[in-house]
Amino acid sequence: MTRFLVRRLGLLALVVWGVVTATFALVHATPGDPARATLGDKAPESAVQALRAEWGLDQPLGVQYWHFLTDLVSGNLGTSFQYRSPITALLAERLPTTLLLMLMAVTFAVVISLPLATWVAVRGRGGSDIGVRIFGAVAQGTPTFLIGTLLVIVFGLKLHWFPVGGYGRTTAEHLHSLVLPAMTVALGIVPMLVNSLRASLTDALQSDFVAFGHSKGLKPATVLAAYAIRNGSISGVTILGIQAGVLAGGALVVEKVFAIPGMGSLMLAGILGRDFPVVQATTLVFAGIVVVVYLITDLSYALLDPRARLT
Amino acid sequence: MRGATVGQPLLKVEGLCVDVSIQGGEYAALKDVSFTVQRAEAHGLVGESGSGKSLALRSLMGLLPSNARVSAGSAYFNGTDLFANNGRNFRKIRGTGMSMVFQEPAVALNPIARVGTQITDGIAQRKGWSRKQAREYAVHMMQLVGIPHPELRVDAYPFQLSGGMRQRVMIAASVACEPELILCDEPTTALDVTVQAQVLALFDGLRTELNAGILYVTHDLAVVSELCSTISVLYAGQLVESGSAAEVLGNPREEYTRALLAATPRIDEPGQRLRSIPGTTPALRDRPADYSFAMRMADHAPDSLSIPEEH
Ligand SMILES: Nc1ncnc2c1ncn2[C@@H]1O[C@H](COP(=O)(O)OP(=O)(O)O)[C@@H](O)[C@H]1O
Ligand SMILES: [Mg+2]
Repeated sequence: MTRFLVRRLGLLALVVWGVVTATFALVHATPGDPARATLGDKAPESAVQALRAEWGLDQPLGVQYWHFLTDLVSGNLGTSFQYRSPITALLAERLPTTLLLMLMAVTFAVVISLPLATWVAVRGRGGSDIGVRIFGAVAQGTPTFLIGTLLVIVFGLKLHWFPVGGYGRTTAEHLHSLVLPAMTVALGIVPMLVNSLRASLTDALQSDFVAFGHSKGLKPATVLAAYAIRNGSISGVTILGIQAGVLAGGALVVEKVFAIPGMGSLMLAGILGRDFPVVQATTLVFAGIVVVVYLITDLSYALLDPRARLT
Repeated sequence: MRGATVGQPLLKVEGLCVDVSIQGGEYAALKDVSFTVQRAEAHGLVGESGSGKSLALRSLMGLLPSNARVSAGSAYFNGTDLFANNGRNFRKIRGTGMSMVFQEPAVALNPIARVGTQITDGIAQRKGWSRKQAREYAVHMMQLVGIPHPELRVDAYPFQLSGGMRQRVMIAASVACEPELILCDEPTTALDVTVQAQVLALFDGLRTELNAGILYVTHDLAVVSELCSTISVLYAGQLVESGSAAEVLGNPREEYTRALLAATPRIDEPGQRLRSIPGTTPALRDRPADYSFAMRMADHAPDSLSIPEEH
């Protein structure tokens, strides 16, 4: 288990370094001068040059990269050009929102997918199976923002069950505001999750070990839960891991659609304002989130399947 | 005696027919099969691979694969009609009345549950046992089936045990509720000869100690002659011959039984020449409605292999 962890953590560090470097390169290759963007078109060139010097943008790229990396390692993410405040403070404000959004999205996805997949697998081939497949194909082909817009129209504008945007001030308001965005992200991964769960549950239901469970006279519900679902849902964990990127990307888009002040909207604001440090830091954090989700699913896999603990 | 009515057989199967649907077509896998098993008696159901032995056992447990069904016939366990009441009678009988030892413990044991749990989950649910009680009983049962150091293995997972130990776990799980009838599906095929002999002795002990009936499925006549007092010979879904073991094995009436015997190594006659039966049992879809063993022999008769004459 320790070796398992060390190996995964090593991989994590490597991935994060790769992402950070790629972001640095991309940000500096994008046309547009942050100092000019901050001061406006009418500012004198000398003021712009002064600001560039202050931010270290006049130094060679290699030197900038070195400063960027050493700062990162010491936990200093820099200062936002736009907000003129340390990025760690900005993140502390926004990261919990995005994490909560993603957590709710995963919960919704699982709560929708597992019963649906179980129902279809138990009923076997037939109408429900085909229905779910068609639904899956359609849902998978629909972009997140479209699903989000549809949810807003139905549950926000027509039914007034949930706010159509904003984040509120109390925790209850936060949770309430996040329902539609989280559902939007969830529906993005539900089709794939249902499909994979349906397939593995069907396999499990036809397996000898489920027959064996019945042969011992166990209650059918016990066999379903302890034998079929426990085995069949292992694949679902893997799918959640694979979909970690989709999850993070979905959160990013959805925060914009629903005006949620999280990491996604911070990142977009950073890109639009040529706010290099913000873009770099938010990318880093998103990459970190994806990698950590991978790690968590890997660990849950090992917890669910004793055979995986050996490798 | 438990639930016994004088003169009534423990299991009475009459005219059992099982159909399997393959790609839209229905094929008869068992045709008009009848036999009885008495209390404290071991009955052998013998036939080559593909003769329908596993389907016969599964139909008696109500655990046929989803594409197979009982199309005719009846089966009475202690006078209870197994196929009546829409399958609900099975639920009362599985575990305490009948249990089944599956052919492949490697796939019939739940891969992600501890072996101790799998031995006792049936009886623990029935009796409302605590975890501790169940664990103690699991250790006791493991001892009974000859697993050394059960207290060290009770928490193991199936993949951590050898094939022989897994099969013993399977047997322990099947007899945990002290069933009146044990269905065995080639339980020793995967085991080496010494372990096989131990497992056979174990079944014989259960038969005399629990007064249990045993329906023992195998392709191995040597095993049958050791354990069973009566046998039925099955070929391609049809009952070829049945009677007392001494009678059928000592003086076989049917050509198929004689061929099976000639292909079985004999312990009392080492070094004798074995004549394997030419060909194999044809697949379900390749059997004509009136298929018989004579047709297979005709297909493989020496003259049918001769080179066509030249003109
Ligand atoms: N679920 C199934 N679908 C299709 N064919 C099957 C199925 N189960 C069994 N059969 C076929 O039925 C015949 C009898 O199978 P089985 O009962 O497993 O034989 P045995 O246990 O004697 O080897 C074989 O030809 C097998 O291929
Ligand atoms: Mg078989």
